[in-house]
Amino acid sequence: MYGLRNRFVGIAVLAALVSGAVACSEDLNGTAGCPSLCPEQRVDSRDTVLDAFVSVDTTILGYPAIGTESRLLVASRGDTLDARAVMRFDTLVQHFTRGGTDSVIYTVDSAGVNVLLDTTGTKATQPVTIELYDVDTTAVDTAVSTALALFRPDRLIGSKTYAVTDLKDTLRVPLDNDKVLEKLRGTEPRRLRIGFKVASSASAQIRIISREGGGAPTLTYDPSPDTAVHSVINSATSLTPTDNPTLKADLTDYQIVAKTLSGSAGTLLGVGGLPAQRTYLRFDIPARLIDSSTVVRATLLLTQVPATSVDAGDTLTIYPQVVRAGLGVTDVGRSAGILNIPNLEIDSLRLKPSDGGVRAVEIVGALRQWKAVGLTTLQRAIVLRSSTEGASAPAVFFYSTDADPSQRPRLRLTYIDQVQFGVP
Amino acid sequence: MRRSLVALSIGCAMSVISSRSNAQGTLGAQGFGYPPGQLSVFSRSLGGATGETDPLSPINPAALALMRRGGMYLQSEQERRELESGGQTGSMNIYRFPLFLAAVPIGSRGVLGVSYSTMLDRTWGTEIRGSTSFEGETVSFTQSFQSEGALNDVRFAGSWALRDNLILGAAVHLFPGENRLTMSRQFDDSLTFAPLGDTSTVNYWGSGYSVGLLWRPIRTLTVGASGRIGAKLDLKEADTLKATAKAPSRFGAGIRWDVPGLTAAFRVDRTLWSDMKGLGSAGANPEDAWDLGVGVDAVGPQIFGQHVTIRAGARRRTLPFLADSQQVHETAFTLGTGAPFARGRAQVDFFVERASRTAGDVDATERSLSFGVGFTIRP
Repeated sequence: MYGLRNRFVGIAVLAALVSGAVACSEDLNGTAGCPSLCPEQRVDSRDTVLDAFVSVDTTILGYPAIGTESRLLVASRGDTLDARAVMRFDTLVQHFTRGGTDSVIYTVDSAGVNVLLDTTGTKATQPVTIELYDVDTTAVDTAVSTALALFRPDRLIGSKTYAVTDLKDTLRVPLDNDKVLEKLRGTEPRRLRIGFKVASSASAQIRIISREGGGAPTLTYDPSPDTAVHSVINSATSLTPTDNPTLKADLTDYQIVAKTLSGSAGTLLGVGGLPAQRTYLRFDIPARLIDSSTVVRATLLLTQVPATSVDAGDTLTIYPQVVRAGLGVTDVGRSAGILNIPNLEIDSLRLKPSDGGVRAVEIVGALRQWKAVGLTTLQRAIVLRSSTEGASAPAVFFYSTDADPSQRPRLRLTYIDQVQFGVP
Repeated sequence: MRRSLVALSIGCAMSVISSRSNAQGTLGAQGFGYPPGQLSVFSRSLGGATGETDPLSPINPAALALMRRGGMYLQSEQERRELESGGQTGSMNIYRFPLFLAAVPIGSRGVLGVSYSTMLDRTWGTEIRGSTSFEGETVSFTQSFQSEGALNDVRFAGSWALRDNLILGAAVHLFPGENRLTMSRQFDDSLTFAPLGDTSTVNYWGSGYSVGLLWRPIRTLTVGASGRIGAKLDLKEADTLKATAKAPSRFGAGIRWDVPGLTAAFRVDRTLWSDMKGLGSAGANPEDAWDLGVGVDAVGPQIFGQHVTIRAGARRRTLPFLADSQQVHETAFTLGTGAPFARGRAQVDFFVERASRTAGDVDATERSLSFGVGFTIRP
C-alpha cells in the first residue's frame, strides 16, 4: 500500500515536471489580431539631412604602399598610361646535383619567368609583346626615374609576343639563357631583377598577380643538358634593404608608373587611378544622433564628377571602409591605411568614372560601429578606395566640401529617438 | 527597509515568474496585463467559487485560519492562448508560478501567513510584418515586441477564530512588480537598414490592506466576505517616477455549502481596477470588473487506496483593460481533482480550464486552455 502511495507521489512529481517542460517550449509565430490588438507597436522615425558633418575630406596618395600591391599592372596605353612591374630574384640556385654530386651550373637552357595573370585586367586587341629587362642596379631601384632608365635595349634579357588568345591565366616568358648564365657565374651579387614591359601596335595591358596576391612568380632554367637533371625553380625573393625586413619582403615585386594622365584630384575627392588615390572622410555627426538615438539608415550622398581618365567607361568597384585608426593617429594619410576589411559594414559601389550625378553610399553599418565603440576611442571616418587599387587606371572623382553647397557631400539620416513603450 | 523589500520582491518575481511567449495580438493581456485571479488550484477548479473561504487563495485573510496546522503551498500553471481574428490564428504559451503561500499557527486560534501572488501578468509577445517608406523606397521589416513580468501582491495576513463559527482576518499588502519589455525591428534589407532594438523596464510599488470574515451560521454553511483597500501605487521607468495612482481595491463575498462527500460554492467579486487610472496612458485606463463563480467538489473514486475528489466550476468575469476600446468578457469552465499523499502531510491538486474571451463587436476571440498543479505541504 505504501508503495502505491509512493507511486502516486512519483506520478504527481512527474506531472509537475511535464507541465514545466511543455511550457518552456517555444511555439509557432502568428500575427493574428495585430495591429489593433497588439499592445504598444508605435515606432516613429525621423529624417534629417546634414550638410555640415565632415570635419576632414581629402584625397590620399601612396596606397597601396610600394610592394604591397596585390596586382601589378603592365600597360602601354599610348599617351595616357605606361605602367611597368619589377620582380626580384635575389637568390638564384647556382648548383645542381647529378649522380649524388654537386656541380656548379655551367650551362643554362630553357630559362624563363612564370607568372599568373588576372585576366580581368587584360586589355589587348593586337598581339602583345612582353619584354623583360635586367633592371638590377646599385642605385635605389624603387625610384621611378632610376628604374625607367634601365628599361633600355642593352638590358633586354627576354621577350615573347603573344596572340591575344594566348594571354591566359598562366604566362611563361622566356629569358636569354646566356644572360641568365652570365648572372649565375658573374660577379656578386648573383641575382636577377626583372622589369616587365608590354609593347603592342595598339593599346595593351596585362595584370600580373603579385606575390602579395598569391601569384608566386618563379624563374626556372635547366642547369644541365642531362634530361635526368630536373629544372631549377627559383622563387621571387628580395634581399634588400637589409635594415627593413618588411620592406625587403614587400619589394619582392612592385609597380612602377612611368606615365599617367590620372593626375591629382585637386579640390575633388579621388578614388582609384594610377598612382592610386583614396578618399578619406572624417565625420562630425551630432552625438545626440549617433549616441542617443537609433539610426536605422544613413546615406552618404556624394556628387560624382564625370572623369576622362583611362578606361573611364569601365566600371570601377569602390569599397567604402571604416577607419580603425585611433584618435591618437593624427596623420590622415596613415589613418587612411588602418581600415576594417571591405564589405564588413558598408556594401561596395560600382561606378562608371565617365558618369556624373549624386551617388548614395549606405553607411549605417559604420554608424552602428561608432555608436558601439563610443566617442573616445576610434576616429569616426571612412575611406573610399578602389577594389583594384594600384592595379587599374580608372578613377572616380567626387565634389568635396570645397565645392558649391549643392554639390558638397551630404548625409541623410533616418533615426528613431525613442520607442514609446513600457508604460502601457 | 523598503529598498530591501523591493529587492526581495523583485528577486521573487524573477525567480517565480517565468514565461515563454510568441507572437499574436491579445484580448486578455492588454494594458497592465491579465489578472489570473489569485486563486489556488482548488478554488480555480471550482470556478473561483471558494475564493472567499479557501485558505490557499490570498483573497480573504480570515480564511487563513482554516490552515490550522500551517504549511506551505506552491502553484504552477501553464496556459496555451489562441487568438482568432480576421481569419488568422495565433497562439502563445505562458508559464507562470502565480501563487506561493506559507502559514504558521499562532496558538490554537490564530494563523499568520505570507503569500506571493500574481495580480496582473503582463506577458505577451507580438511579431508583425510591416513596411515603411524611406524617400520613396519601401522596405519590409519584421517587428517583435515582448513583455514579461507582472504586478504582484505580497500579503502578510493574520486570522483569529473569535468563536468556533466566526473568524476574522486582516492583512497588509505590498504590490511590487516589474515588467521587462523588449522590441526589435529587423529590416529585410539588413545592409542598408540597421536593426532597431530597445528595452524598457517598468517597476511598480504600492501597498494596501484588507480585512475579512468567515461565518458559519449552521454546520453545513460557510459565508465569507472580504475587502481590500488599495493605497498608493507608483510606477517607475528607468528609476524615474512616472506616475502614481491607487492600487485597486476589491470587495467580495462567497457562500459554501458542505455536506458529507459534496461541497458547492458561489462567489461574487468586484475589483475596482479604475483605481489604477492615471498610472498609464489614456488608452490603458482600466474598468472595474465583476467576477462570478460557481462550483462543486465531490468525493470521487479511490485510486491507489486514496479517495480523489472530482471538481467542476464555471466562471464569468470582465477583464480590467479594454481591447480596441471594448471591455473583455471571459467565460471559463474548469475541471479538477486532488488527493492527499505522504500520509496526509501533503496534497496535490490539478485543474484544467477552458476559457474564452470576447470583447463587444471586436472581430476576435481568444481561447485559452490552462493547466495547473498545486502542492500543499503540512507539518
